[in-house]
Amino acid sequence: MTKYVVKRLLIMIPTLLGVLLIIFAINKMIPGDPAKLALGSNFTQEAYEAKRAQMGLDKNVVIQFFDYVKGVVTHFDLGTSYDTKRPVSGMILSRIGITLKLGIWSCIVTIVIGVAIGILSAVKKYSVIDYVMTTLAIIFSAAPGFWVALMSMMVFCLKLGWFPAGGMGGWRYMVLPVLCMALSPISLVVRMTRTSMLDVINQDYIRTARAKGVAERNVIFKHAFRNALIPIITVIGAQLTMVVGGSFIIESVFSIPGIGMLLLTAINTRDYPAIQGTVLVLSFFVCIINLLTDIAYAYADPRIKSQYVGGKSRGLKRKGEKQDAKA
Amino acid sequence: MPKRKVTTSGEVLEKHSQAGDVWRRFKRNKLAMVGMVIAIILILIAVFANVIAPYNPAQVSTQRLAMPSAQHIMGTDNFGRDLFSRTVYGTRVSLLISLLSLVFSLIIGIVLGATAGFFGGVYENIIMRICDILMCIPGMLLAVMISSVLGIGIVNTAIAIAVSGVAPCIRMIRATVLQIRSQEFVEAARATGSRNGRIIFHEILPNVLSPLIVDSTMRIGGNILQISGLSFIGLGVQPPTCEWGSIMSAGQEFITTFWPMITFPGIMILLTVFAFNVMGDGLRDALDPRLKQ
Repeated sequence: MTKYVVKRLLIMIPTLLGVLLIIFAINKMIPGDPAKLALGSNFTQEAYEAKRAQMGLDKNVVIQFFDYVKGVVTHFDLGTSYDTKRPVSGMILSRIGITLKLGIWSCIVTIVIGVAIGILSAVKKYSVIDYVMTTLAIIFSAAPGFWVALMSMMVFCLKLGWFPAGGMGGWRYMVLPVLCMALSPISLVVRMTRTSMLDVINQDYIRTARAKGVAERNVIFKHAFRNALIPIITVIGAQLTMVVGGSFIIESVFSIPGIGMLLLTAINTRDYPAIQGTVLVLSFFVCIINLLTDIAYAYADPRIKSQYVGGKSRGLKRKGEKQDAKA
Repeated sequence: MPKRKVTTSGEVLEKHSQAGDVWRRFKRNKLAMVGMVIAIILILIAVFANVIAPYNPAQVSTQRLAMPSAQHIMGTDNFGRDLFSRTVYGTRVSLLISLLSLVFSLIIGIVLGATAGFFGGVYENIIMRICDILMCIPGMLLAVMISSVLGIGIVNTAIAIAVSGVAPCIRMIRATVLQIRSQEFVEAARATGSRNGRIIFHEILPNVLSPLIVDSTMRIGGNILQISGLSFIGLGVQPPTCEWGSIMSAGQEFITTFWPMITFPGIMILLTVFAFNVMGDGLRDALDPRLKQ
């Protein structure tokens, strides 16, 4: 397994370099002179030349790219904000905690609620609860997250007063943002879990398991769910990246001071270094989610695991395979 | 009366086309039919927006933030403009941008995906690696970044959304082309001396059509979510052009007292995305009967 994880970590390096290249390329397409943008409105010719040299704009584009990569890798240098004139990395680091907290909770809620409702729907197929859940899933997967956020704010915060309408504090501040972020991912996870479980439940080995008297709970969780897991992991991975990608709009609706808010402010002031810095950091999280998804595949699918398990642990692998065969 | 053909053994064969079969299977899916009806209504609203809208959507009046009434069925916005008319015109803008960006991403996707799948080698490798990297940046964020560089406006927004969603499109087309490339009829075409261009356009692409139709239908809905999101945060399309996301963005200021500016455009987005999603689901089942019996 370590070998597999290491291999996946190594693949991440060129991918992240590619992300840096794309962000750098988009940076180069910005209309206008970055040195002038950084200086603001009033400056002398000398100050302009000095700024150009300081930002490395007088060098070749390829060298500029390598300098950029070097800066990001060695001391997390994401440039200086045009707006606040402070380093972007510092601005991001001071806000990242809140975003991470929200993001991780949304991911947990997505996985737990999505999978649970999906299994329930599949087990009680064509029951009232199944119809209600699948209908809700279809509707909520079509609803824009920020609209759900605004609507729930109107209902739960302003009308009913159950939750505070914005800012950050105790758990009561987290409930609505987390739910709004997770709602559309949950609905897709529910649909995929249901389909995937139904596919498996009709297989012969499930009938065999039931026939030999395995408890229904074990049939569902040990025999069916394990085998339904691969497509579920795929959709969870994709949806968690959506959580990361969509978090900034929800942050803005609930005025949560995370990096999403930073991105929004940066967009409104056309603060390009801050936009790119935040996108880079969020893309890094997406790469980590992709990595975790791949590792989860390896745990769920013995065929992938067996490719990377060698040497001493082979005996263990056989044992594992036997258990799987039994299941 | 459908045309009938009677065989020598007396069997009656009903003449049926492939499109007819697909339609018959599609018709059986009630949810997909509902989606199609909603989609058609939305397209009609978009085309005839100037006939349907009772007021000029840019006409300001002194009746600001009026609640829904017989005169203004969705109320008026913060400049006293009729919300119903703005929402109707918003349908036109949203569908237009969505279709435009669909066309852009299809052009890039078909050209790169089909050639990558067909020719393979280093060329394919380069394109697929670029796709991998593009897919590491969440679509919405990529759209935000491109849109912030290109600026606001209908075409710029369409380009931003097309580029941010092109990687999955290239991947899907390449994967389908790879499956088809090695089949006998392609080999036969090559044996009879067809050139590569002819094989790609006449032999392979028609077979990519059905996954492409499904993907495109779903993409229309997805694009609309992104457009409204972009407009909501101040990119995308901005006032005075009517767009659902930007109406909501303006309405956010008055959220404590005035609900229609947020509720109605949101319902329109929900309906549109829902319609195209369920239609896409239905088309997938109808076009590929192997998937679902």
